[in-house]
Amino acid sequence: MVHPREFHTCEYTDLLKENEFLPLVEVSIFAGGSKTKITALADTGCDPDLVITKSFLRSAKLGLTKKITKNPLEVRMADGSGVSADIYEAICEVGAERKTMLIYVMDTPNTDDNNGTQVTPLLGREFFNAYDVLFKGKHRKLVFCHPKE
Amino acid sequence: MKAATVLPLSYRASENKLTSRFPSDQPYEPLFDVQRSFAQIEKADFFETMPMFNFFRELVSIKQEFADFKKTKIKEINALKDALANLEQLAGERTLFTPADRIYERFKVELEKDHFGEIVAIDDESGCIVGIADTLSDAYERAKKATGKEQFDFKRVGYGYLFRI
Repeated sequence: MVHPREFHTCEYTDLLKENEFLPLVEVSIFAGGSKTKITALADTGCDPDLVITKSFLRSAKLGLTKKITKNPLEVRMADGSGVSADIYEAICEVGAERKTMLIYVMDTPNTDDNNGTQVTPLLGREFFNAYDVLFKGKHRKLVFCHPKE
Repeated sequence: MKAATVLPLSYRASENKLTSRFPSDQPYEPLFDVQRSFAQIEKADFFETMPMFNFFRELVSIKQEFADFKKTKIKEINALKDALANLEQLAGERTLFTPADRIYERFKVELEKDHFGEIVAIDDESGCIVGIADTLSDAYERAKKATGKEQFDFKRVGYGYLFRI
């Protein structure tokens, strides 16, 4: 059954071919006069719109320019520790639908630069609220809908 | 027992007194009694110096004990400092207060009474709270509309952090 307001669906991905399906979403980011496509993990335990790390920002060359915070803000991690983050405003596109989103750039030097590992960008609840996303776990897919007016 | 062989230059044994090298030429008491044997002197010295020796030995042992105590205490202090740093990190406490923190503290009681859990946008130049809303994007839009500026500080009322990840 197709949802009446549905405009985009996204199948879960078995990234490591280990029968472990992850809700990965392709998001296009318009910033600094360029369009960059990134893959982000849908994470309902995460409050913000879109979370990336500083090292990812450098490697993906997102070109975010519109910073809305004066000082770094404190964001609480799942293990209880705090990290500082800057917030940028950018336009995101999913399934040809564009919305202005806030991108949180976390400063986590211990996680990224020292270990050489890349943290996957996370899509949080603010993002799902803005796009009105349905999680269809049984069918392993995400459904993006137009919000009800 | 041998008598003392090394004598002061100005000593005359036959007279058993010292000749003065000074113009007054007045005799004075001998500094060294040759009649006393070395054994007697050593024995007397031993009993005289023993308490002093014990005192210094005790002093050295106390000094050693204090050095060990100091080392262990320094280790304990460093361990406590590490534990405190870990706790601060876990609690997410910041040691430095920004101007926005001070502005928030000024309005804290009223904000926590009426807007608990909401996001506030703070303009530190004017020292005012310029936007309150349920979401950060709404608070930002309101603050932008009210001031015409593009950068603010944000706080979640009643919480030490803005968001959870």
